[in-house]
Amino acid sequence: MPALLATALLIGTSMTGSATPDQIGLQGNSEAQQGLSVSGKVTSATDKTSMPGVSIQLKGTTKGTVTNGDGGFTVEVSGNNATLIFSFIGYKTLEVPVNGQKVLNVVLSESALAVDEVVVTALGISRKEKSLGFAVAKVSGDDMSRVVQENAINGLAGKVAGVQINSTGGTGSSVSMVIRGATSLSNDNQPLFVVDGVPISNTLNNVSGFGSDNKVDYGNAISDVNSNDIESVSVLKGASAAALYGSRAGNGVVLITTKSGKKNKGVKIDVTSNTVFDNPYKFWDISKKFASGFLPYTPEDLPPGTTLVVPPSQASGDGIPLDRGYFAVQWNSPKDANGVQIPTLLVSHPNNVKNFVRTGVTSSNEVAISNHTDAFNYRIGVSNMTNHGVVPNSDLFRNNLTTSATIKANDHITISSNININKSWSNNRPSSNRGTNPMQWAYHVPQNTDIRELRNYWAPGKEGKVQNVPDPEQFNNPYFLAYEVNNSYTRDRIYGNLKADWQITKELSFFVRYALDQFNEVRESKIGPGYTDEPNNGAYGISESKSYQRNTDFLATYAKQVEDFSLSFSAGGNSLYTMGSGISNSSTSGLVIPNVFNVGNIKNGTLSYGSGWSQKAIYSVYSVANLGWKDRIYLDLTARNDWSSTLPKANQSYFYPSASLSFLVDKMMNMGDNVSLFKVRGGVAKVGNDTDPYQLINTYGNAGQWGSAIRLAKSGTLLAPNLKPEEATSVEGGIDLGLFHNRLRFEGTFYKADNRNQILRNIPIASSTGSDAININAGLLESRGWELSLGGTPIKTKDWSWDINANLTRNRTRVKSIAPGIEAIKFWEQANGGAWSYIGDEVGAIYDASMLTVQDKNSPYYGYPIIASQPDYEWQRDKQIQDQTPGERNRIGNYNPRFILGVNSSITYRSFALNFTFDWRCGGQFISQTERYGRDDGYSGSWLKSMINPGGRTGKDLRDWLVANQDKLIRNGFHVVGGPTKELGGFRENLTGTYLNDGVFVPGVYEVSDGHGGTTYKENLGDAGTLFQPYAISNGWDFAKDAMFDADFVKLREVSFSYKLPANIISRMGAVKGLSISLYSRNIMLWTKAKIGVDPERAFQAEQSTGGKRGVQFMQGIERYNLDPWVIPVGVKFDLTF
Amino acid sequence: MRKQLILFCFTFTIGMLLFQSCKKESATTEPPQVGVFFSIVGKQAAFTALTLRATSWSWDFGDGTTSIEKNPVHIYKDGGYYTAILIGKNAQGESASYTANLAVALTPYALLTGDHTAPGYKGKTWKLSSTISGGLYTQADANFSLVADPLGAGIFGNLGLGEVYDDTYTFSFDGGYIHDVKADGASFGGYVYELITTGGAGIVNSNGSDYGLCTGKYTPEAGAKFTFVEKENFAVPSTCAEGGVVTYPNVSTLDFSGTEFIGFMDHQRKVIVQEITDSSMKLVMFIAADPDNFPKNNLALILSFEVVK
Repeated sequence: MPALLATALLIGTSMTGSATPDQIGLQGNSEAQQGLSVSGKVTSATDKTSMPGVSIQLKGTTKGTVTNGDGGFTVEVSGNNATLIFSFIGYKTLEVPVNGQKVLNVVLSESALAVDEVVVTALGISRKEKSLGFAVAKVSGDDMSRVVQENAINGLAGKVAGVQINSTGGTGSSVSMVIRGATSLSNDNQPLFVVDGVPISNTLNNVSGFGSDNKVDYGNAISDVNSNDIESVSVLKGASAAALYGSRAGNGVVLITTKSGKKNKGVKIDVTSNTVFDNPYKFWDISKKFASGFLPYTPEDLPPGTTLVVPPSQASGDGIPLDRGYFAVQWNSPKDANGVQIPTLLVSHPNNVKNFVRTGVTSSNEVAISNHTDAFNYRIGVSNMTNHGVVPNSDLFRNNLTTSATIKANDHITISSNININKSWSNNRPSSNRGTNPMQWAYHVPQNTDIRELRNYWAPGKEGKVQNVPDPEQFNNPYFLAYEVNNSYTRDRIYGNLKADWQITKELSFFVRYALDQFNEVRESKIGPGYTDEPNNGAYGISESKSYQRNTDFLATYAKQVEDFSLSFSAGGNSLYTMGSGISNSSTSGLVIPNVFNVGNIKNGTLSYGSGWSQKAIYSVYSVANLGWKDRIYLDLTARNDWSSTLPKANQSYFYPSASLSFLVDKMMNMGDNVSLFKVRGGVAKVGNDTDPYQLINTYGNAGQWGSAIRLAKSGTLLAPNLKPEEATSVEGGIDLGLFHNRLRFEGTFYKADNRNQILRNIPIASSTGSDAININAGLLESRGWELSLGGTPIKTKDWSWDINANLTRNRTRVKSIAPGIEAIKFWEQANGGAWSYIGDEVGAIYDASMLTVQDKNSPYYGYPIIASQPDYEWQRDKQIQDQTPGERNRIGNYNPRFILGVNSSITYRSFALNFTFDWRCGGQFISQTERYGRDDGYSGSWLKSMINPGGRTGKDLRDWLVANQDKLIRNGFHVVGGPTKELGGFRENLTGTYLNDGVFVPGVYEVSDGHGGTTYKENLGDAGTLFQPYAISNGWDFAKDAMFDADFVKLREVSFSYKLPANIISRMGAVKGLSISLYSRNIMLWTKAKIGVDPERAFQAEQSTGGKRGVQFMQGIERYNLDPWVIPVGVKFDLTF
Repeated sequence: MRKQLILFCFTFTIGMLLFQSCKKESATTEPPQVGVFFSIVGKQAAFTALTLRATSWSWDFGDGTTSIEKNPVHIYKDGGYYTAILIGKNAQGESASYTANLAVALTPYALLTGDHTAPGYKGKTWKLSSTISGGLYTQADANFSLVADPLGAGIFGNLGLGEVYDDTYTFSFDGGYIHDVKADGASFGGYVYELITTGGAGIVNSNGSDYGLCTGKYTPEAGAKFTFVEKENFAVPSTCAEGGVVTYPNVSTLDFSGTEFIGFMDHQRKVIVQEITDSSMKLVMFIAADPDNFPKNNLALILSFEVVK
């Protein structure tokens, strides 16, 4: 045996991709021998440790192996000239010529440069990214878990082009993910989530709650996935990427692969501890200088000696001015010796809401143990998440047990399984919208009252019955709502799979898999006595639901390399069965005895009860063929047929094909060293979308009692016995570029999708038919969009590296046609406006009633509002939306952003790393009902600021100044001149019989008789004849536009600064193999165009009903009291590896 | 960065303010602000000093007694009108004072007609109060069951009937009554009453017609008289009671000569006095707003009146 002579062999040109010689080395031992086995060891350049699971392929064949637990391998080579290809996820693929060597020790270096990266695609098949003809986005587990997220989906925000992530509310609320825009008018447009091959139940419709106006968003079930367990996420955006998931994938697919033991060598224990503090810092902008009341009286306005009174029953926020040394009798004034309430000093309490909320704390801890051997690898993880919310008495908890195991029974059979068991629960989820929402009422606490005095939330002497508030019929106490309204839930879930892989021959393989997702959820609402909307001892309700989803699938794959051609053909089938059931009991008119929360305490005849179940099955067969030629051209073809039980027999079978092509131009012609990738790709695909169960034939349901008889009734909506699946046909094309050794990267995709046969619900029909609405298949929605991403690595040295990536999303979905006689789809109607999509509109359009203005272009008053000549002297509605002339309807905005720009960057210096993600939403509008109500109730800060202060001008001076600035001060909006006090520009007015200085006027004209039977315009511009009225009643309540704001914002989604203990220190720490610590923050609002302190991302109004039509409980583009404060989180994360 | 800058500026500014306020300490101070609140039950008056920046208080109760308590309770020996004065002083000795007029243990008639012994006495003048809330719109039944939520301050102004707060009503100790309807020559009254009695011709302002309210032409009578009864059983025709009459036992009432009335012009002129103090009174006025049962009353307005000074 000759002595082993270590020879350093530097390679630079035979690698795929590129690297500088000092970064990647190959150590080999050369000996002239023929056709023998080659063995060696693969180590990582990063930490010099051995690498198990590296795949080794003999170039030009399908032969190969993987390294064992110690990184060792042995492979048969055909001759001295053979070349071995070493590849591993996250590392640069290396081609090594054998050159007669018997021992090859290979060093792989990590690839920050995505060249030959492998992505998980449909059916869980790993593919080289460069071979794909369609856009697939991937996000690594590290990027998902760098910052703790109560809902893992939040970790994708700003990181993926073509995807819009919206948190609909505070911590624990549902998170919406929409890929390439909304494509369906009848469902929630959420993608299909597949975790380790298990399709997971998830929906945006999680709003429930019992009791009057008690709307609770319990959060979407995808939050059961622990972000720290995620190895990688692939987002299949287009129909071609999703074609293999069939009807469920109409809105795209998110494939989540969880961590396994695959990567280690030896037993490894990971401990992760993560705690974040949410510090509230910014609140809705309210006016803080007035006591509660309608009129800002001052002592000067009243006869001397008059005692000022803050009227307890007036919940408005523009009463007597505060902080001026005025004394007034207030609701909580003490009594004198005669038992009479005495006046007390009126002072403001600007920090009321700040004093109400608390610092939120989320803590997440996990221990995972994993191992990898030749025959067996496993990972077992246990984690706990605890959240104490910003709203007092709100919480959220989750425990996860996750196991994954792979057993290699022999060279042919591999058995693997992933099982996740988790429990998530809360003692109290704060409600949203109006009613029991503590945040709504925290803002309603009169500014003259210190909120801390309300902490004792029972009225003295009336404990347990009446709230401690100015007037128990007009006000709720926020602490009462936080502590005496409890909306709890518990969800127990198990999901997982069992899979057997059979490698029949080198070319032919087969797998069969069983996947299960099952949960039970109990939701309970307990409302104590005293809530304004539940006068009979409060309310109670409980519901229990069960969900079961089973998928059984198999796939046979044949892969072969014939000279320059590579071929892979797979065929398989899937059987899906889902079943859901639920039972619910609740009070409709209070409880017999207060604070006894069970169904037996509900009075006979006031119990609302019900139960139901549903089932659905889809059978599918599909096949996929991948053809490659010389690593230059790849062609993918897929075909699938589904049979869905929810569609009528004649329509229940539907077929959809897809084709995609990718050309690697850089391989086809010599483009020089600076071009490492130039790919042109394109694809066409069709995907179907079925419907919910029982949408075909009307059935009878319980319609309540009539005397002693139970009534049965059919719904007034006629169902469609001939319903067809919705059908989306999409085309996409794109270019991928990698330049300068991939240090500059570009990906661009254009797509267009036609969505036909939309299932439209509750389309009104003549009631002479016996029904008042019908469900139909009709319409065409066209989505078009761009996805661009640009990345660069400007700095890459031994110590420093800087990586930056930007991605741009632009989508437009247009209604091309609906059905004969139907001109619009209405998603919601609120605030005198609404989201209607007329034919030709982009989905998301917002319409409003039109304002009465002077239409005569020759009039000097052209465009001036014509104001009412009776109080209220203000803007008048011309026409409601439905009465407006087609083509001239008053479209005021659109709730979808013009584009989304995400920027991610990572800067590392030795063991330090700084990562951040920005998310910029540009364009789009939203309606803030919070503002609308606030303006009408006189406590909106933005409305007060919008008053035009006449600056001392009066009469003709004022009139001329307004006219000179008419575009800004008279036309185009809701302008009001004056203010609530003399100092703020208020005029004298005596509408109430007392002269006050809270006079304002709406600049415009009003109609008066011209003396000849006609009318003429009189100026209302501050000169003689101007109609003044109190500040309190001057706002644009009748128009949605007055409460509409630009939705643009920039958020710092994530920022983290981490330090990893270097290897030379770790090596001295005995059992410890790795330690890192990071400081981070998340979701910090940096800028909003609407400066009102309301988060535009949360323009989602939670309702229990789906509005009959839109298929989703949330109304998008509008919010009401979605008012969790903005926070600056501070988090710390420790990772410890043994 | 910007945040840090703001933080720096903030800290800097606070620092400067503290520094400056330390310097300013011994310079000028504002004089105290002084006001008085009192309540009277029987002959006991409870005084509350409504003062800012005051460190000492001295009271003169107007009957020869004084106090240096902040919130004294004083029992007057005799009923009558008194003038109490509070002087508040700050630490620098600067002072301010406030004078309060008290009516102690007076009869309702005295409260209604004022201090007839005062020089230049011409009766006591009242008007509908727009500033004190808690007015009620009720049924004309025994319990005055609520029809609408409590009426807000100045509510009729919101209806476009603001002029109803201008009219004044003067009561003299000798029983004389002077009603002034001011510039509009009209009085607050029932819409149905006007329709039936004038065919609508008398209506001057119909802004409140949705609520059965309006203003109608009225010319006050010269030499009118009023009658105040401190306690009687008062029977009122009402659609809300069986037999068409509701009787209110042991109530104080006000009635007038000829066509005169107070506050609200409707068929029923006599009103109930629910409460009266030196500065305000609360009256119940009836409305016959049901044209089919006119002149039986179906509604009542309970409103506050205040003294015109």
